[in-house]
Amino acid sequence: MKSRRRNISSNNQTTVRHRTRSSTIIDGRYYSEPLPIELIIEILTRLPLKSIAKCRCVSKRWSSILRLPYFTDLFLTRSYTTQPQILFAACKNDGEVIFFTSQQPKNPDEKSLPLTANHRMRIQCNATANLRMRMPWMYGYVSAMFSVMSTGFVYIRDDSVICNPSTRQSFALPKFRTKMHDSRSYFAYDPTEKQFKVLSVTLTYRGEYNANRNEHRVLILGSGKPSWRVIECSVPHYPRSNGVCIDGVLYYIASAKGSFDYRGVICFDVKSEKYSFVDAIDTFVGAAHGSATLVNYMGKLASVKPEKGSNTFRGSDRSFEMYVLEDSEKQEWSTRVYELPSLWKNVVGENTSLQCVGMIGANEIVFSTRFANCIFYYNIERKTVTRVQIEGMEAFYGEKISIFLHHAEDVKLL
Amino acid sequence: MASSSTNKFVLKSNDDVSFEVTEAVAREFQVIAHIIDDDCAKKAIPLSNVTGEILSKMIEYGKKHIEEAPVDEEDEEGKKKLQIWDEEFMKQFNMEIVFQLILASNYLNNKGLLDLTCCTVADHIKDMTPDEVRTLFNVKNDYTTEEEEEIRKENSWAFE
Repeated sequence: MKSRRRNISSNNQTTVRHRTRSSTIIDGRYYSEPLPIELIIEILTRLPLKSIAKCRCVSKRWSSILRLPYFTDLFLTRSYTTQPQILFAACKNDGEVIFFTSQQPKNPDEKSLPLTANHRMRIQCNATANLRMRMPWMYGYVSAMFSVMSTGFVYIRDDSVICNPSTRQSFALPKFRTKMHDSRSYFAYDPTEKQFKVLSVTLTYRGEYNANRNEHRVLILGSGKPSWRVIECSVPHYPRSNGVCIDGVLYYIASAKGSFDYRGVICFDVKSEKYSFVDAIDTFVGAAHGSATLVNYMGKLASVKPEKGSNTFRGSDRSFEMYVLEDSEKQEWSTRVYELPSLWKNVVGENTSLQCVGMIGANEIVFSTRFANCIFYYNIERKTVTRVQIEGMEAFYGEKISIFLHHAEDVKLL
Repeated sequence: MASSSTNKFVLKSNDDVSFEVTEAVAREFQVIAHIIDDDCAKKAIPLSNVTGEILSKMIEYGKKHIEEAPVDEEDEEGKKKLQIWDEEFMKQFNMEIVFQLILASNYLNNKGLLDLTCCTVADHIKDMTPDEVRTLFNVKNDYTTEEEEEIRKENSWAFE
C-alpha cells in the first residue's frame, strides 16, 4: 500500500505500470485504495436527497450502506441540526396530497426574504377525500388529517398511510375491524427504542359520553409485518386535538372524567404505552380549549391560545395566551399572556386570520395564513413580528394546506 | 517549557520528507497532539500513512487555520474569510488528491479538513449519474439487469 501511494504521487510512469496490474484503475483514474465504509458514509451524508436516491442505484453494496441505521441516523441528525425545514402539505379536493418543503430560517428576524417551497412528493388519498366530502366540518383545521414527526415521516390518518417525503416512499398500514363510529390516530416516536408507533383510538358517540367503550390500539413500525394490538387504557377519554410528540411522550387534548366538558391533556408514554391525564381546570382551562394549539416549547408541552373570546388568531388581536405544562406528574401548569404590539396589526393585516404552527427555540412563535402563502414569526421577548412570504404556494390558493415546523430530511426506507 | 508558538516539531512523511512545524500547527492534528501530550515527540514524528505531497498540503491548511482562526464564535467575518480561503484551497486538487486528503485527515484526525474534503467530493458527485459515481469510486455494478431496473424505478424521481 505504502509503496503504491508513493508511486502515484512521485512518478507517473510507475502509476501507468500499476494500471495493468491493479484492478483499481478505470479510465485512467486511480485511487490508491478504496475508501473505508465510514469515510464513504462521511461523504454520502453530505449529499442532497436526490443524489442519495441516485447513489442507491450504484451497487448493492452502496444501497445497503445507504440503509445502515448508522448512515440514516447521521443524515437525519445533520439535516435536523444544520437545515431544519418547513413541511407543507396541500390537500386537493380530488384527494391528491402534495408535499413541499422550504428552509426554516434560522434567524427570522434578520432574514425576511421570501422562501421557496420545493415540491417533494404527491400521493393519492382517496379515503381522506371521501371523508372530507362526507364530513367537511371535521376538516376545518386540515392539519387534523396528518400526524407529522420531526423525524421526517408523515402519517395520513384517514388513508392509514405512512409516507416519507424525503424518499417519496409510502406505506399502507393494515386495517382492523371495529364496530366503532369514528377514530382518531396519532403517530408517535420512542427515542429510547428508536421505534415509531401509531396509536389509534376508536370512538363511540351515540350522543352520550361513553369513553369506557373506546378501543385503543397500537401498531409498531419497522419490526416485521406491522399489526394492530389492543392496549389497556387506564384513563378513559375522548381525544380532542392533534398530537405533539416530545421526548417519547405523545400529548393531545382530551375530554375525560365522565364528561365531554371536562378537558385536559393526555400524556401517552410511547415506550410503556401507559396513559396519564393532566387536568386543565380553573385558571388553566384555556390550555385545553378548542382553539388552542399544542406546541413543543423547548422540550415542554405548551398550548397557545387566541385571546379571550376569540376562536382563531387574527391580525386584529391584542394578545394571546400561552400555557406551559411545567410538570405533568404534579399537574403543574404555568400561564402567561402576551400583549401584541401595534406592529402586529400592521404586519399581519387587520382582517387576516391565522393558525398557530408551532415554536422555534424559546422565543419564536410561528403563525401562518390559511393558504400558507405567508408565515409570521412573533418573537415573544423582543415583541417583533417578521413576515416571510412563501413562494410556490400560489398554485394552491383555496386548497387545504397544513404546515409543520422542524421537518428533517430522513432517508430511512420503510 | 517553551510556549506552543516557539516549540517546534518535525513531522516526517512515509516517503521521508520532513517538515518543521510549530507546536500549534502540529496540534491541529489530534493524533499528533496526543503524541506530544504523551511526551513521545522527542525526535521527528513519523507518519507512516501520509506522503510528503499530502502532508505539505495538510500543514498549509493547518497553518492557515491557526493564523486566521476566527476570534470567537461571533466572528462571522473571520469565519467567512476562512471559508473563502478553504474553497480556493480545494480548487487546486483533482479528485485523486482529495481522496488522499480524506484518508490522511481521517488518519491524523483533523475534523475541519475531513469535513472540507468530504464536502468537496459530495459537491463533485451530486449531479453525477450512477455510472459516473461507479467510475470515480471504482465500484462494481453488482445489480442484475432486472434488479437495476427495479431500483431505478423506485428512485425514478431522482432522475427526472
